[in-house]
Amino acid sequence: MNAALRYLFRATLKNGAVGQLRRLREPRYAIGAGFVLFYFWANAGLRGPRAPDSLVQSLESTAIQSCAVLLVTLGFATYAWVIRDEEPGLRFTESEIAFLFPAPLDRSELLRFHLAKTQLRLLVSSLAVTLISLRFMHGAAHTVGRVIGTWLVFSAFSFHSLGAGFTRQWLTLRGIGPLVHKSVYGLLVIAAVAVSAHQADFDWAHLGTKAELAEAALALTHAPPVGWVVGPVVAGMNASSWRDAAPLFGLLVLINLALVFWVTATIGRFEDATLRRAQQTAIKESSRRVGAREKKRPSPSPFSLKSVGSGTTAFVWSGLISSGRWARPATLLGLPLLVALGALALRNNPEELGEVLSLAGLLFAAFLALTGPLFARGGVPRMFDQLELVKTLPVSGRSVILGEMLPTIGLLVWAQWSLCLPTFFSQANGMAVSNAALVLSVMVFGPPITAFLTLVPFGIGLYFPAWVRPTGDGPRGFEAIGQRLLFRVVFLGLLLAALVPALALGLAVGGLARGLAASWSGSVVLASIFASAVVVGEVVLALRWLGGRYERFDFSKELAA
Amino acid sequence: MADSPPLISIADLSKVYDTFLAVDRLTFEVHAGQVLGLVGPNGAGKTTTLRCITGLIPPTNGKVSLAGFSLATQAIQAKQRLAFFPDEPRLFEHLTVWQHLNFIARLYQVPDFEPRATALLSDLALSDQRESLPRQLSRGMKQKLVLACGLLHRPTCVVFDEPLTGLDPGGIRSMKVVIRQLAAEGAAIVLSSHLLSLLEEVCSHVLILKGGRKIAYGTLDEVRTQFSAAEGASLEDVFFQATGGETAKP
Repeated sequence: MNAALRYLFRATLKNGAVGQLRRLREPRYAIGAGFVLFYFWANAGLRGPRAPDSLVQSLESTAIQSCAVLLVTLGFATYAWVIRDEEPGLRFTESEIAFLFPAPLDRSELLRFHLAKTQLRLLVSSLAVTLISLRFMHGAAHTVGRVIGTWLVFSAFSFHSLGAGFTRQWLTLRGIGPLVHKSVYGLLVIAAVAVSAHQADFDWAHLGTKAELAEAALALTHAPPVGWVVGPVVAGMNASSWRDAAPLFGLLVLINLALVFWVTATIGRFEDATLRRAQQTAIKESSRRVGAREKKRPSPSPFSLKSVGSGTTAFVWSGLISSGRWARPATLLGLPLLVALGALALRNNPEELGEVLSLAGLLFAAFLALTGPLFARGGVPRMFDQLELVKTLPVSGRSVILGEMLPTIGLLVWAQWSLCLPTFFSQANGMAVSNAALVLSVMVFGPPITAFLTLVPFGIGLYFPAWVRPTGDGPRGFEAIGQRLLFRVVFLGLLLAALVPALALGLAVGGLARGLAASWSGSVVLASIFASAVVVGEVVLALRWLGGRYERFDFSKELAA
Repeated sequence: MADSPPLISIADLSKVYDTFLAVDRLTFEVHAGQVLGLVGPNGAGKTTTLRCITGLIPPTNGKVSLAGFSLATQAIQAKQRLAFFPDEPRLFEHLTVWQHLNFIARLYQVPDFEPRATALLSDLALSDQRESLPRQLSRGMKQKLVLACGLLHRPTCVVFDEPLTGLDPGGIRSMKVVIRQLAAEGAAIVLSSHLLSLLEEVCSHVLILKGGRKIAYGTLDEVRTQFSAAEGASLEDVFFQATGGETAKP
């Protein structure tokens, strides 16, 4: 590699590492790093050798491992040859393109620079993957050996992906279209599996028990040509010593070298492809930086926004516009209509399918109340995207957060209630009154819980902004992994903290009502109402607290960490 | 108008980032009709000062008042009177041009905003873009939309950060007209720019910062006198005398 590129590589690496270490002076990052180290120490085998019983690998687990390797390999290959439709190109940053491409550098030097960067990234990923997956692995291979094996496998995938992209481009330029590439790839995969099945030492007529299925999978994945791909990887994963692993690593190195040769032979004029791809990426990144979704047309206003009134309503209005089709009348009316029609169609089902589905709907509604806010966090990145704009507006922090939360809560509650509909139709068909009370309780208790949990990511975002930073240039490294793990723990912890007083009061009130001769159904509904009141109180308090935090939020310090 | 109470009042403003003192005990006032140009070399503390004035970041010490309302204790009332025009046009990517104005009208409680919004769009030649999303607008158009949003509620305290960035000659002329017009209507304006000629053209007062500290403050003539610059000396001459900076030798 050119001396200047070597310098750039070293300086980038050093500055990145120093930056990450400096960040650990912030307690939250230090906690994140500590948490992930503890996690790896406790769960991922850093404590030392595993217990002897974990060395015993069953036939089924080996079969599952082999099938997983086959599926992952097939997935990567299929993505590279069939699904991927973007132009191939090496990934350079915008700055690298601006400075390195016009510089008097040989093309092969740029390629080597890129390879060095990619290999380092893959090595770090391999380390993380190995540490996370050690818990689920069998065999006694040394951790370092596993990291090297995973690195070689990842490299092979990476080179293959590049080679496939450039080959497809080369073929297309010569008039051989995508349909031909995809068809040839499909035929080759089918032929490989068929040949392996034929070669496999297994009587396919006897395929009934679990053990036979495992044997069949093992036979198929170890017979050539499928075995040529799966075999080295599985053997590397399960190698018990360096001596066992060395030949397999040697084979993987040879495969990588062959792939590098393939890439360099097909790369053609990679600058053009890389530049085009970098431009596409830059446009996408720039859209993402300003919070733009892939939105082609403007969304209509969900309701007429009067120019005088609460600021919260303005944020709800804006949030619903941002939700796009999810907040359109057709979607909002379509979901309950569809669920109701389905429930009506099945109400006289002799196999009681209707009742099974209604119960499933109820369970899913409860599941949605608990997990929906974890996934529907659109308001949080939106809030941070627009912080510099919104903080100058004459509106309180509480109003901003409430306004950003309400569209999410509204849509989730609407979905929950829609899913409860089938139970009411089952009720019409003679379901017990107690079940109706249960449904009513879910419908009453679901919204406050959803509201509380929707608030959690806002709270985490305001106290730990780096965890929910919308742009892709957020913190990376182990402490960031730790922060994400902690995010889940905090989410669950706060859920429990919210539930304990609510359920305690609900159970007390329900028990009291039952003691005072109220019906079971009445007691359940009463309990849910009181429990909901507690959660609503928690939401109000949390909102007030976070509103104050928002107003004091100093993004110049927080987001610079 | 200097006899009236100041519309923008900054007293003993300081901002510290960890151990770095970005702004050091800054005090100044801007009265109705005045345009204060904020200048200084890079890292002088201009952006931090503007961010503190607009409530984007809290100051470490000191007090910011807008139209008599403290930004710390009466933030809503203070911000009702404020318009901030950042150097980069920041918009809601999912709202159309008209939806932006509707949204802003609601937040600033502008009754019957439609006629004013229509007039602003017409004045800024944006009438044809009412239903466009920001991504469909050029940079200049985005800048104009930010301007329309900022002017909708008739602000009395206005802050511009590098207002001419990315504008074409027509846009530059329109921006200068807007600044002068706002001042003539009685707004207090703070304008930060490295374009000293712009400040010379539109500012009534100037504040020179260096290392977070005020080194000159007053009308242009007062600042000239302070640095013993010859009558008719340009702001650029005064700036380099004040900051001790050197120009590149030809």
